[in-house]
Amino acid sequence: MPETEQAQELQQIDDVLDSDYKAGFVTDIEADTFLPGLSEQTVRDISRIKGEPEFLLEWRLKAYRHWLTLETPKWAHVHYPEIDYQSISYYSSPKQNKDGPKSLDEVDPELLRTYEKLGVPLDERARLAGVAVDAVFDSVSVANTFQDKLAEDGILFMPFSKAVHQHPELIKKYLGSVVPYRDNFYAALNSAVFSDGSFVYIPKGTRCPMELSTYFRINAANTGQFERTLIIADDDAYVSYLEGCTAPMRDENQLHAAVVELVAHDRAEIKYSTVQNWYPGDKNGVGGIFNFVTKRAACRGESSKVSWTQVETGSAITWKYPSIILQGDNSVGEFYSIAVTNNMQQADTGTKMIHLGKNTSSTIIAKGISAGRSQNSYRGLVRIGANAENARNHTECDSLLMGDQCGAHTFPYIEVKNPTAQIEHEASTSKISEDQLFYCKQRGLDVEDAVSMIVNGFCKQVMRQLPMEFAVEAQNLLGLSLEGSVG
Amino acid sequence: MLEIKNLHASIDGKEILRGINLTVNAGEVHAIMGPNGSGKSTLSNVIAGRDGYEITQGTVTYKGENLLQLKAEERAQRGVFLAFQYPVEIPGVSNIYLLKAALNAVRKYQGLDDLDAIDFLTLVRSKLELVKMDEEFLHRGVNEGFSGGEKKRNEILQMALLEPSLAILDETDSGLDIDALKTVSDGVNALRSSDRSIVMITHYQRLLDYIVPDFVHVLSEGQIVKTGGKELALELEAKGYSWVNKNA
Amino acid sequence: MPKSKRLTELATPFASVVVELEQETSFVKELRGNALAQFNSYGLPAKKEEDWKYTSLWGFSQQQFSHQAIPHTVSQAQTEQLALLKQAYRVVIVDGVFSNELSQIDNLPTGLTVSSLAEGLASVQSHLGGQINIEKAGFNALNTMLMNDGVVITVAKGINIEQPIELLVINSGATENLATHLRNVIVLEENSQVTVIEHYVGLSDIQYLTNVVTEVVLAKSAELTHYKLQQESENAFHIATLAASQAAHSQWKTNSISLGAKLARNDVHTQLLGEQAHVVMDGLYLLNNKQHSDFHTRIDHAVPNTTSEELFKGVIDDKGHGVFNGKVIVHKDAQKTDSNQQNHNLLLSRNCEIDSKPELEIYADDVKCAHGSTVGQMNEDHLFFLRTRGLDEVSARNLLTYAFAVEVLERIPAGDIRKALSAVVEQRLPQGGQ
Repeated sequence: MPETEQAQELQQIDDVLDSDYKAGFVTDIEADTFLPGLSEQTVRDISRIKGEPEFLLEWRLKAYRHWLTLETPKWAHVHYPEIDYQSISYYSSPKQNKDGPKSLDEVDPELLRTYEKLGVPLDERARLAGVAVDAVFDSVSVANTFQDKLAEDGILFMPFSKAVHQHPELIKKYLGSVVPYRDNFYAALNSAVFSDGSFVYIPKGTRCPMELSTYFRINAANTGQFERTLIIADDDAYVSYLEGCTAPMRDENQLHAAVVELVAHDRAEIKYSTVQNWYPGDKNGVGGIFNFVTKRAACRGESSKVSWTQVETGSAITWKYPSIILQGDNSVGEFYSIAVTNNMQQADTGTKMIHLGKNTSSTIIAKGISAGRSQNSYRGLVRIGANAENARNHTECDSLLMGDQCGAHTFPYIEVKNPTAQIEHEASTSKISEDQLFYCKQRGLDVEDAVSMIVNGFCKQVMRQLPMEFAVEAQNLLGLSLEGSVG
Repeated sequence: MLEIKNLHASIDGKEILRGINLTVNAGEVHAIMGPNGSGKSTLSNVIAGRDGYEITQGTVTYKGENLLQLKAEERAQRGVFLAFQYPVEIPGVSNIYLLKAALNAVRKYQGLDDLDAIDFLTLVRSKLELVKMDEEFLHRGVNEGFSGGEKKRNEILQMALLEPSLAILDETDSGLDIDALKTVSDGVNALRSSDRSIVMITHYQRLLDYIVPDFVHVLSEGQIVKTGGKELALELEAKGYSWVNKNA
Repeated sequence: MPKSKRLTELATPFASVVVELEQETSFVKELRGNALAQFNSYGLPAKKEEDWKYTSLWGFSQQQFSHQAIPHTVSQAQTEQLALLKQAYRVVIVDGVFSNELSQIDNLPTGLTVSSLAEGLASVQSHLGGQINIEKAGFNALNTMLMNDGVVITVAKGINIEQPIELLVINSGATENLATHLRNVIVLEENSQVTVIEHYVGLSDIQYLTNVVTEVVLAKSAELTHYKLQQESENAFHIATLAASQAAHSQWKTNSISLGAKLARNDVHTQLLGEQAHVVMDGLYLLNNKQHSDFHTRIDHAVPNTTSEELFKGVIDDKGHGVFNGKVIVHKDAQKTDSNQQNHNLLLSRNCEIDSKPELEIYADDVKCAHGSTVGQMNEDHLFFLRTRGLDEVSARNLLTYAFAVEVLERIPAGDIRKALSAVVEQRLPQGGQ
């Protein structure tokens, strides 16, 4: 990928797309990076460098000790070599003002250019888009826009490490309350070594006036990224949050093990959208990000609502199940997903809807597209507890296969302990038919355009859940990810 | 416009077309009739460039160019239009999106800029009237859940929009009731012009009452065995296809 | 991965039992030896094993089973009454032993052989153990170690057997905690056809174990219509594997109706190994009290152009617990596979539970695969409608429950078998639900 400046403005749907991984460049910047290795000392070092309060260090250490007792989960339909956790560096931070930048003027221009290239402008242009951005570069947050404006409404949107200092009571109350460190192998690891991430608190009765967005970027080699995001929507609050991810092209696999926790109180609504475009590795499966992520939301309050929308096109391996615990009566959970795998990518992704409250309902729409020699699995759980009167779930899983070397799999679990539940699950598998392709070609479209059009049609139900700015980017990504898979 | 000489084509090693000769001049309307299995649909697919057919002999020339060496989309961009016997459904892709993409593909070949959204919509609306379609159709998935008649009208709408030089209508009358047949025929007749040729492929004479051809050809076992004026169709209807075979 | 130590240790009493058929060949001895070694190292499956996620064998592992049946006679009249079909070739097994006196297989048509396992083994030895995997499920190993009887059915090339064969397996109730390990082998040669009904009945309410493996081999263009009616006693353990391999153009229609037992586990599996092979795999489970039924099905589409249809329905009442796990695997290059799987469940009580897991694994692209699963309750509008037409609530509920279940029965061709099975299902309907 050339280092030259290139315009990254949002492209029109029918633009011609080129086939490279556009985000594959490396930023040449000085960084403070830990030596590889993981021990109790590493955990203490991370905590010390961030000047964390004692309770947080204790929590990290408990997580670390618990992690030591765990084995790597093997149940997912993915295969990869054992990860050597001692060969990874657990902290990397671009050299900067010790207390972090006060304003964008203090941010290293090289960093600003990086985000510019990725299509995430951090300067005043962002104002036009009406999106507040937190930019996380390797282990730390490097820029955070619109904080002051949001603060006028009492909205907190800041790097996690800053929230630890400014609002320790909120962190203490909510951290690990949705995803405890004991939850699973990667969540325990993240709890021990997480470095930064975003923190959002929307106060009672407040509707967040703009989209909040975090942009994650892995840059340094041999580092893992372990961010932690916590979003709390208090009673009657609303927020829409966007997350984007990219990494340079490298021959080594890099580990990304994030935890995201969402809490929705009475009548609150959180909309969380992800476009995940970590480097997927090359055609032969060399390199790429191992994306092992635990995302979970608690609909704690009555009539609260959480919806996850994800477009997963990147990563060598994706292991990710954004889930919703529907505790509050009348709460609503939604999961909309597009997972695209090409070449040697493997994805095992889906959701869990845990119905505990009365009159809770959930919707799952999952679209899987497999091409090349990739493996794409949907894995989902719908559980209706004994006291969840009148729970409703509707699930649709559709797979589109492109080529005879790939796989598409569906593993839904349905567990019902209450007779008033109504559960419907449907799955189907298909390919792009020769008839559809010929029809489009007869109308003058070339194969790539025809495929891209048919794929976008297949994904429409999910695409329309995305905020406008994201939808265009996502559509372009779909086309890019599948380039060269038909013909 | 179109000149087919001694065209032989087979599929999976089985010869379907066995020496077709056909010349269509600009502005002419030709009807090709024949019983099931005579090769009618194969002929339309071969002209449109569908994969899977092997051309063993012969030539197809369109506006002086060798059509057989072009890809399906290149033929379409040059003005060859096929109205499908069974238009496919493409779930999630809206009709208007396909129309826009198709029109811009043709315009791009012609060296024209893409139409902007307003001009495009104005253009499409004018064409909708031709086939008596409601604007609501534009926003539904391509042929998704359309009735037989709606699918065929949608084909004619696309034809009206793309303004091809050569339109091949493959069994456009099949599955239509008399009202729908009339609507579709009116649409096609409105598109007749001195610089546009139309080839209708049909099993029945019925369609030819509405779209009156200049020439009628009878296809049997992969060859054109009889050619005449529109009265040939009536004679064929009265005497059946066995009559032609006997006379061939 | 070694299973839970606890279950392995508790399972060891089985390992001390020795079984040998009359004139047992070295081939069979070797099978038993391998199975014993497997069972000793793996034991019974524990709950953390994915295939046993929803079915606990803890209660089972607490039992001391007996392998010595106290002799007990069942009369001809009694079997006549128990049998599903009056017009059928009948094989009767009582307390794990093939009964020559009670069986009616004297006048078999040419091309059909029906015999006890010991007698018939020689003719089908090459198929024995061919359809099952003793490494995975502990019970297949256990069955192979201890198989002591069963039935062998063969149909010769081109023969169409009109009259169905009913295999009536009776537990007389004479022996407390009796364990029987039956092995049935059904082999259809090219172009042959037959209908077989496996029918399991318990005469008392004592606890016992039926552990059965039925292996089915269908040669080219063979057609087997197969039914299984499980009416074990309410305290019985019924553990069964039904596994087939199908050559080109063969057809297997199988329908399992599971009504009895405290714990019933059925593994139904077929491998479609030849083009144009077709399977219809259906089932119905009606559960009440504390019954637990677990169906694990698996269809392997191994070659191009094979088709499968699957419909399982469950009606669950009281503290019943139903489990359905249906796997459809389309192997690499198995293009043009067409598969449809449906699992629908009706919940009738506060305390019941259903776990449904339809799975698709697809490694070919030109395929049509779909599955669906639903869980729901009785439609209150329908119920109300029936009551306005004068039905009392209990009758209305029964009628609607039957209407839900009947879809499975309607897939059986009209005739004596459908009539007989429908009558059995109707009798078993819950009285009122709630």
